[in-house]
Amino acid sequence: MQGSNTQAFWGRAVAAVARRVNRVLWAEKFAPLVFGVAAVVAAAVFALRRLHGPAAWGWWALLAGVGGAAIVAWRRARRGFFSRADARVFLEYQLGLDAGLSAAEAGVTAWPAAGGRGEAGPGGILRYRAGALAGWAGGAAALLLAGAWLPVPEPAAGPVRFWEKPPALAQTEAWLEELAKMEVIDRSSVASLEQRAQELAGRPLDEQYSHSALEAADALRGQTEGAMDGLAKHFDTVAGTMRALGEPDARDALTDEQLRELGARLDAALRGLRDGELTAGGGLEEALRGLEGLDPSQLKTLSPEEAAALGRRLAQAGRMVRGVKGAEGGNGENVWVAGDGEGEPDAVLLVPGAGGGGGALAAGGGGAPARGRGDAPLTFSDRKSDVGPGRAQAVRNDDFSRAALGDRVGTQQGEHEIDPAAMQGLTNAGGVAGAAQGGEAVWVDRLTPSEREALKEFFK
Amino acid sequence: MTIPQPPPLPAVLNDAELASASASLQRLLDALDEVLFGQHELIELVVTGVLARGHILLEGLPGLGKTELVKGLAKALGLGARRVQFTPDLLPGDITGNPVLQDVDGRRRFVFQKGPVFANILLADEINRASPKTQSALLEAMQERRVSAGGETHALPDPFFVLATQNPIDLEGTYPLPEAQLDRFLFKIEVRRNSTDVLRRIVQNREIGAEPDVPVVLGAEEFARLAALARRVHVPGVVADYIARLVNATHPGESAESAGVRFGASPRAALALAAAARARGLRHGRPHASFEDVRAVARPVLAHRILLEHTARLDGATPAGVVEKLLAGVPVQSKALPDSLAAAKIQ
Repeated sequence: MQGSNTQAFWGRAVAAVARRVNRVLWAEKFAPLVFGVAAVVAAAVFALRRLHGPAAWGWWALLAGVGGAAIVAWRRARRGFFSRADARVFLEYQLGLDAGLSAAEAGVTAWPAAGGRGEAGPGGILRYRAGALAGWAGGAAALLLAGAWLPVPEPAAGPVRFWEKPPALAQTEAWLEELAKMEVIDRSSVASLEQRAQELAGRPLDEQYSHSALEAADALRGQTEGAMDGLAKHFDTVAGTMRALGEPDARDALTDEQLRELGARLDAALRGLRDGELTAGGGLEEALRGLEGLDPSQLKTLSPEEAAALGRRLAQAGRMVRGVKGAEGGNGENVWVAGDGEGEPDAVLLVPGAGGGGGALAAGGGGAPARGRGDAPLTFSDRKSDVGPGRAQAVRNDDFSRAALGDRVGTQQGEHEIDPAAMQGLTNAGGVAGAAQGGEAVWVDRLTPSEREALKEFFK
Repeated sequence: MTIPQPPPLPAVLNDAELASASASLQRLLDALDEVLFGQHELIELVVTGVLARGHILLEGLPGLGKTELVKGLAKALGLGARRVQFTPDLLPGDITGNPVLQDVDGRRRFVFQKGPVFANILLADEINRASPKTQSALLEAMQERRVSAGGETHALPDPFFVLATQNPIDLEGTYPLPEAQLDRFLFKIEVRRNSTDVLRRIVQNREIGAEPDVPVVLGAEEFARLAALARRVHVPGVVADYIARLVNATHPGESAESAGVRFGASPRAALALAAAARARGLRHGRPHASFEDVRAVARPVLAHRILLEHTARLDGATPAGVVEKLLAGVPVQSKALPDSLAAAKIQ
């Protein structure tokens, strides 16, 4: 019973030694791996922070990396793990038991008494030297802290681009929006123009400023502008006629010739209001239909009050149509304004141009969307180039480093430096003129440094 | 016809055997302490060597008591001892013996005249002064414990030990022992000079020309019994493994400590280590050998079996230094301790 207790005591002590040694063995393999993982993760976290990416991914990667490192460290360290026999041998040697545990295990002698030196345990015979481990751990922590806390520069302000529709299209859409609100214009006539504008606006952004798209937008704007001008003109014509008929004195003074001329103008205007790109709508449409086909002689049959009221309504409609264009016309054409200075522009803007309308380009050239002329920044020389067939010019190259074989680099006058004292007399063919140094060659070239040292020692 | 076999001895030494062996060996050590003052370590090693039935080479300056120790050992053990002063003109027959023409029963026949090697203890003084041919005559005697001459084989008495001495100075006119013969010596022990206190004891208790009176403390039979007990000392497997790793590490390329070694120790060295460890274990009253036993005898067992490179010798390396490094570098357990742990030996 006593023996089994003693055996159990030493068994526990051996197991404790094995556990401690194996833990440290594993930690020695684990620490450098963790340092490597920490270095990679710290770099990744820092990079993610610089790029304003999700830095949390780095910490998940750290967890995964540490777990993987633990497994790899165990696989590497297990070859060196202390077995129970190793731990027993180590324990009995350190405790000075004269191999008593191994002999007892073999049944040669009794188990050494428990207690005494055995009480020292693993802590008594194993001392930690954790400097290297602490270094790895500290380094890993420092790297991670650096990756997480080192200040990163603010994101560089890249070129900010504002995208706007081509000016002609934008202006056309604005006109059509205003026209659609007017009751004096037939909505269906505006709708056809709006549909074409929508088709242009629906093209991909990178094609908006293509040559064909810009031409189409310009054409649509011109067409819309022409339609508005025509509609306003026709409104004004009919309104002028109605104002003339609404004035009793003036009406009575109209001759037949003037009435015919007035009727013809009225008829042309009414046709324009009916069949033009933009047609009259709302209440005006019915009133104007009553005037169609009216004989000039019957113009005086119109009530002056009705004619005057209709004239005022038509004049107002003309002003409204002109007002649509006039509100935009003051802004003129859009212009292309690029960032000034060298390098990348800080911002590329399409901004409305100031000044009066008219469509002139404030800045041309450079292949801008407005397709102005772009001259190359070249200047003409004062002298005409005098080159042509049959003319030869000498080329001079002062760079002698590129001289070819046979080129004469230069000439110089001087004398050879001859040492007359170097003459040693006549020598037969095959004779040796200099003192031999064969032994020296062997001494210097054939022997390794250690052999030379050994020989020097020998001959000392 | 069956050969009668002696009854088998129990595998493990019992306490009574260990106690009697310890007491006998202690008496022997005490007797030798009276011969050679202050050389306890040397005496321990010599007694361990003879207990392991090994030959011993003592190297030291003249006058340190090497010869006295051997003569005292022979007297204390009650064994017959012969002394041969090796010189360059010594012939093999002067050691092993010569056939001599004699009248035997009226007929003239060659009769083998035994040489001084036929003794229990042969003191070969300044063995390195004899020619290689004479030195090699000892090879068969040391290894086989027999002598062949004239077509006949003559067994040497049992026990038979060669205790040789050599002088590390005055190397002119000497013949260094060949490696094969060095390997036959169990121990090569360096005899160091005495301290002042020991010298004072020598001056007070010794006189030039007067040999110390050494009583016989062990008879030949008792010594044979002790040698048999030593052979029964158990060598645990882990200790045998340590011996094997230690000897293997002496070879170039097998360990960092063997840098500069040209040839390492032979398997005979491993056997010698085990035998010496057994003898030391018995001396300390244990039925088994321990790591401490192996380490205590490693230097005298291994140092003379390690041959260094010429360049390493020029750099000041010595075989003993290599053994010290091996003892420090080869752990007793088969696996190395991690760098982050330091062993603290409890004395």
